[in-house]
Amino acid sequence: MHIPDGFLDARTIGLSFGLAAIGVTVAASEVRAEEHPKKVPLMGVAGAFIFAAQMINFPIIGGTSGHLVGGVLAATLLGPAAAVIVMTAILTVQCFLFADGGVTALGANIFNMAIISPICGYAFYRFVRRLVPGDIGRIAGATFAAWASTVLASLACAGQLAISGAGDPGIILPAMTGIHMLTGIGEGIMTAMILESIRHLRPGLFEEITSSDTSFPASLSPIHGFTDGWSGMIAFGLIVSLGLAVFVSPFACSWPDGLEHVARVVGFDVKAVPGAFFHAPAPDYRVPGVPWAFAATALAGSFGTIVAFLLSFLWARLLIAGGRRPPVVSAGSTSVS
Amino acid sequence: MPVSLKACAALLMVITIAIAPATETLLFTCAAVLLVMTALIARPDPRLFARRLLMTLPMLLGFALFAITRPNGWTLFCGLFMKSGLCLITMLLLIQTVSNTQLIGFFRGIGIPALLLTVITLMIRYLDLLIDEAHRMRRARASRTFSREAAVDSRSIGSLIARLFLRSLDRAERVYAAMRARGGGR
Repeated sequence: MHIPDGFLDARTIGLSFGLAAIGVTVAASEVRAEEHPKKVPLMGVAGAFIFAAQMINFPIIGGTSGHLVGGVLAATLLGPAAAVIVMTAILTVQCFLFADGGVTALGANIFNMAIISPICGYAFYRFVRRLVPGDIGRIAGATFAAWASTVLASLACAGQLAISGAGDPGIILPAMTGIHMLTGIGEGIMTAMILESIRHLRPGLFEEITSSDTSFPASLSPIHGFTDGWSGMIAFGLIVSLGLAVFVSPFACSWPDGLEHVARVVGFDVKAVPGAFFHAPAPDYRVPGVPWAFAATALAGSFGTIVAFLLSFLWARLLIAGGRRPPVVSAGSTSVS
Repeated sequence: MPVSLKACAALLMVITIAIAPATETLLFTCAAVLLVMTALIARPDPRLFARRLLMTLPMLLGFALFAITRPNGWTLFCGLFMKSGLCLITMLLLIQTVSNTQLIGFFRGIGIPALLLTVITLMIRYLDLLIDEAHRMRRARASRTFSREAAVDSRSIGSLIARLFLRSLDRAERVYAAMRARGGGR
């Protein structure tokens, strides 16, 4: 999903860099204000950890292999704000050290994989956990969150490409989201397995402890020390929805008119630049086939989401039941904490 | 040549190529000539260069394929692929002639947020270490378990990554202790 240089046009580059910069600034101030200073070295090492984990390929059926992206893993282990910083650091290093993902597309890549993925993923995770408490909820939440945030990030990525005119929106959107609805399954399964293994190896790590972390064993504190405040989540929610509105909504039926109206009220003169900000660049996207394709995609998407939601519970139950089978291991690992 | 100058020149080039319309063949030709000249002067390690190029090119091709779906798709496809390839080569040349420390210095120069800079610095410092550790753990596991079943393999990779995280957690703990011992980390 790393967009290379050359595929985004100037306004998409500008907009995505703006959104990414605001998101990273909010995350940085959140971490600075709320977190223990111990979190900073943890974030650095965790960044290297996720980078290393991304390099481990795991086999998928049919001889192909995939790897983890880790946005939701980072968010569940470190908290949403820290995850934004860590994922941003990873993408920046990948861009400048390995030429993986373009420099001009860095803003878009940060927005998709370092903001949408951990923030939306964390919101889904919290939602499922509130619905179903306990370990099942935790694992199912992480599975579903990893899947759904992968799909959302790919949707934003497709929107950015389509709005830049790098392809027909009627093809790019369903193709990108379709591919990532499949790869997201791997992401969900792996994220859940890693979290379940961590829970198994060090059971105390995920216990909900709300009081200050100083009275607990030092190795436990970084994880549940993270903030869960509303203000940060509201700010992030605004950034994410603004981004999705700008990049994706022009392709969804009747939204552009409303946005154009808002833009005119706010002060953009949309008509001054032909085909500016909130228009899809391809004037042919209203050909008869495309709205149908969009409706079909939306339908398939919602069906897939429901199936993924249900499957994630099944997977959580399987994982937890499988993990409990050898009682000796769990007794042994309890003493570790 | 100072790093900031080199980096700025490369970034300027990438931005110009990336923003230019895909039909500006003259600009792209000039850029290609400039890149060849730079490559002749800088003399990057050809094997490493080729390996990195081959690793990233399929991705480029995949993204460019979407262009075929537009009207006059093939010209757009060629234009996008050329643009993107030129940017990639520019970045690869820059990467091969700049060290990690110089790069961090450049990041500091362009004023990215202090927290992000700290995380990036720490990350680059521990990256090789953790990648080595991951490879070691993988090799150790592979020499002990002989399953050809994908499910078993994935399952053990899950626990391998979990162990890697716990080791990183302990390492971060030691890093913080070392920072405190030297008067930092407040």
